[in-house]
Amino acid sequence: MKLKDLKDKKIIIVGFGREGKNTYKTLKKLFPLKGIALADKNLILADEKEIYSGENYLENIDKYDVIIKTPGIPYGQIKEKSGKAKITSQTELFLENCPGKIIGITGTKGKSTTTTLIYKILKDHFKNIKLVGNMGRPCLSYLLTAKPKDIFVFEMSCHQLDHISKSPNISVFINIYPEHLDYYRTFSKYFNAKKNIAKFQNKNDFFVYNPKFEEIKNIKTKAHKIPFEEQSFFKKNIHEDSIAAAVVVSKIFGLTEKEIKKSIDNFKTLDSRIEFVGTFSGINFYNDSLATIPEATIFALNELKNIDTLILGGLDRGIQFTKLTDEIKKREINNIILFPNSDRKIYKEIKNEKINFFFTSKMKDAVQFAIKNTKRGGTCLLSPAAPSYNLFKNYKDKANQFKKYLKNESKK
Amino acid sequence: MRAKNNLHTPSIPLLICSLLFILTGIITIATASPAFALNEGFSSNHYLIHQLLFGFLPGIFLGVLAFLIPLDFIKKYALGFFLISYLLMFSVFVPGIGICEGGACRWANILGFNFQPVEFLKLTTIIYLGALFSSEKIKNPVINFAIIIGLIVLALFLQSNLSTLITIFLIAVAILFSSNTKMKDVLIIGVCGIILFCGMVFTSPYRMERVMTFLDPLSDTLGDAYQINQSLISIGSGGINGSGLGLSAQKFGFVPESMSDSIFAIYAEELGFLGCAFLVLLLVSFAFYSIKTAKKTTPFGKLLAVGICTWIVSQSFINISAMSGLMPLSGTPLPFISYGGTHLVIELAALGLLLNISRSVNNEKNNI
Repeated sequence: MKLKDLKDKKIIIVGFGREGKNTYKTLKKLFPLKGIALADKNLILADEKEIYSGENYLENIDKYDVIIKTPGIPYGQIKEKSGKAKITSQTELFLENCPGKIIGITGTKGKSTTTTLIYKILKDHFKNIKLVGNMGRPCLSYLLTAKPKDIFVFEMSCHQLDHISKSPNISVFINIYPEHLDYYRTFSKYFNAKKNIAKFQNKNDFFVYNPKFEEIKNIKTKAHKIPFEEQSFFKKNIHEDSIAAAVVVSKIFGLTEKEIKKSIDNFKTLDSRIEFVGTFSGINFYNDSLATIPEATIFALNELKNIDTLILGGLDRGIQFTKLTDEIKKREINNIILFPNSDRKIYKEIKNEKINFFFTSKMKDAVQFAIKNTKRGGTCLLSPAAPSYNLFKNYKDKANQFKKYLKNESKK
Repeated sequence: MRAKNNLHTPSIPLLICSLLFILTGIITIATASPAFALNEGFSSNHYLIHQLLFGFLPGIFLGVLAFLIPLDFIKKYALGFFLISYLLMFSVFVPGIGICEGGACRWANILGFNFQPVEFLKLTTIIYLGALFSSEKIKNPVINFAIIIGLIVLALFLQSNLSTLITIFLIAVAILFSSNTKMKDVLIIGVCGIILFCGMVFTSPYRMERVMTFLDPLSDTLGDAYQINQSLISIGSGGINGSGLGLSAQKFGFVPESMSDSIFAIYAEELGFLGCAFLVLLLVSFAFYSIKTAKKTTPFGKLLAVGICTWIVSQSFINISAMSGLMPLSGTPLPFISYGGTHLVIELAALGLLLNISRSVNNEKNNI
């Protein structure tokens, strides 16, 4: 849907969070005198006549011509009540109206790293590179000033890709693991949302993909397909896939390996996903709190040696832990600390008398237990394999508490 | 029966060149096609097998046939060959037979076989021009020439295939030059050709775009200039020795048409400067021995040899120059090496014909 077509339509923005507010601001700039309806579960503070909030905020959305939804609200919920209204989103509006080139990045793990890398490398060599989406500013804030020569690096979640009708010029698909099943219920639904990143590309576009995943490899697209596994000259790095993908995108822009290598070397923060916190009481502590799925934790288990204590668990999103527990069983891990509410599920699958289990919901207790029980010279790894929203604000909060208590405890 | 008895061994250097062309072609397709095949969801040797079965095999068969057939027979039916292939050119516009892709109709499907009629036209034009200009009865060479070229321009213009037109025009001028035509006439035709060429470029937006891209390749790295930029990166990263056979990184989707028109870029990346030097040297030796053959044979054989030589060499250099940014991009295959059955079959047939001509050289020698 073209922006100018919105002019005579009755519009409602559903979901008034960060993105919804941004949509509202952009539309107001475009049509200052037009009334725009707003709907959200929470109270909305805005100078508009038509505002719906509370439990039944979706009741009246069928009275409008166009519904602009935010990613957090499932499509199905809106579709049920929307009647004849056309449902669109900020991402779709951006893709359909942006005059510049868009690089869209999706995947389950490593999206942010890949997005940042691509942005940094291209920024070293081109002007007009913009970072949009989860990492940067919401995309619509750029739309009104976008020019044909601009290049947008856009991190796209499955929620943003859900039900879009246009794909980016360059699409990057890093990997796919079962995550977000609380929202999508089945894996195929989740994957179908992500597939949209390549579905509507044309033959002048590019699809950069990870050939290790059969599902991704078999996605149908008209674009040039370029696998990224073969091109990595940075093998044996925990960000191998992200780097390989970024290298391919940079090469599409005509950069040489030498130029790309130089930019990557300058980008140091890359090494900090598995972060060495320090040695306390002779124990090496590592923080990998960003590992919110079992695959990421398995990855960390393979990276580190001598793991004696493992801190696991967090919000249960209905995914299976068997792969992870099989990996744990193969290793000689003596202590496992578990956070709720996925703790019981993990415990049931491991159930080994030789292992010391400790259940807690406090980081302080977890750290005390780890210091007390981990053998000297061993390693203690915090790698939850689940999100931390139930007990902590986010993964950063979890990591900060981990570090704080470690320092406090070691001083005693 | 005289001719039959006097035919002996063909030119050995030309035979070696032919075998090297075939060998290089097979090896290059073997290394350039797997990445493409896997991307399309086929098994890795899909295109190699296809090229061997529908390119090299029938090509070598037809080449042997062309080698054995008496030249007098070919000369006798030259007009017939030309007319048949000329009519085939229009089959691409017949619904149910023609296949159109990206605004150009260049393919025909007859009895389940897909082929490009224009490739046949290249060889039959050479044969017909050779027959025409080697006969002593020809009165008005320029007008005859203009009519033939006019017919070909018409057919190729409808297929919007400028690059082939250039190749055929070069071949025709070379044949004209080698015949007993006056220098002045050759020059007039050359100038007319250049004017026609410019006209075709300026009246077509996509050709203009390619010319503009050629003049400023960094203008739009994702759009029109993408192919040439990637091709240059590919050739450049080959260095002196190349990355090694099978080790191109660019073939994994970066270079568009990496198996057909752009195969030279992959060849150059894997085999480097030395590999390219080998290919150029091979083409130069081929030209040298073809001309040597041409000098010592019958008038018809001479014009045929010059025509075939000009065709293979000019088309190769047009392709290589386009891939290395010395000329605007065009969609010509690299003879013997690019993927594609039709051009390979006809090129191999032409090689057979050339070797056939070289036999009559030896026979004259033997007579002396």
